[in-house]
Amino acid sequence: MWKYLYSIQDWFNDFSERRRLVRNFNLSARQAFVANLAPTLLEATISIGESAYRHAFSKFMAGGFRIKALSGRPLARHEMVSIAEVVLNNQELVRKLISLGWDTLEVHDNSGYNGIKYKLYDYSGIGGVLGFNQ
Amino acid sequence: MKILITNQWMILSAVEFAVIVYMFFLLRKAKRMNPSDLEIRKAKKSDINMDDVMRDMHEAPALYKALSRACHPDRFAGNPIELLANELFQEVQQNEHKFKQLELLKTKIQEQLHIKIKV
Repeated sequence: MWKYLYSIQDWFNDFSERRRLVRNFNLSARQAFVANLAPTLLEATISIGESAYRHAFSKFMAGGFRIKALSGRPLARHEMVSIAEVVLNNQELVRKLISLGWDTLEVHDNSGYNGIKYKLYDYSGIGGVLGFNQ
Repeated sequence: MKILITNQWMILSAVEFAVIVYMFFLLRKAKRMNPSDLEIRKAKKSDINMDDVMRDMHEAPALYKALSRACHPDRFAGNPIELLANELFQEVQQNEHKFKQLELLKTKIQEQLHIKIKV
């Protein structure tokens, strides 16, 4: 019985952890922008995500980790890719995103109509035999 | 009237029971996880510094460019440290988006190749 109660507690913890991660990302992005380290202000939000990219831990209707760049102009594809690559190359971050229920990474700007989507599971390095996949 | 009220409570308790049974079913389904799912659960506890992520995003490209230019093997062609430069260049390429590792590599390159790098 306690196991089930703990799983309910886990469910609520996941939500607070997700909010904390998004808040930390936005705070760091804002600080980098104010300190003139970053040319564009980035903002992370939670979106619906891509249904084709779902996995066992996906959150219902909240599987998308969306990074919006407040660039003021439509970003070129390579600029969006470079933002996404930093997240995708950080395997620890990707695994954390997956464990907290995200399945899609979305990057787009605030003025254009184009964006890019990535399936996070493909970049997590998960799937080998335990202890032998590194 | 009394009978009607009892029936309502019966229906309500039946619905509650059905919800509880459904939740137990979902929990049993969730318990059947493969090893990769367990690995994901472990990742939940990891702590990530977002300031580092921002540095990787905005400061790493310039440093990467400077380092890859500084220790490019073509600069050391015919030199005895060509092999060492080649190894360092490959290391730099592997850590393209990792600012912390690139900073460590910067000092390593400066010490081993005896060059000054300005970023």
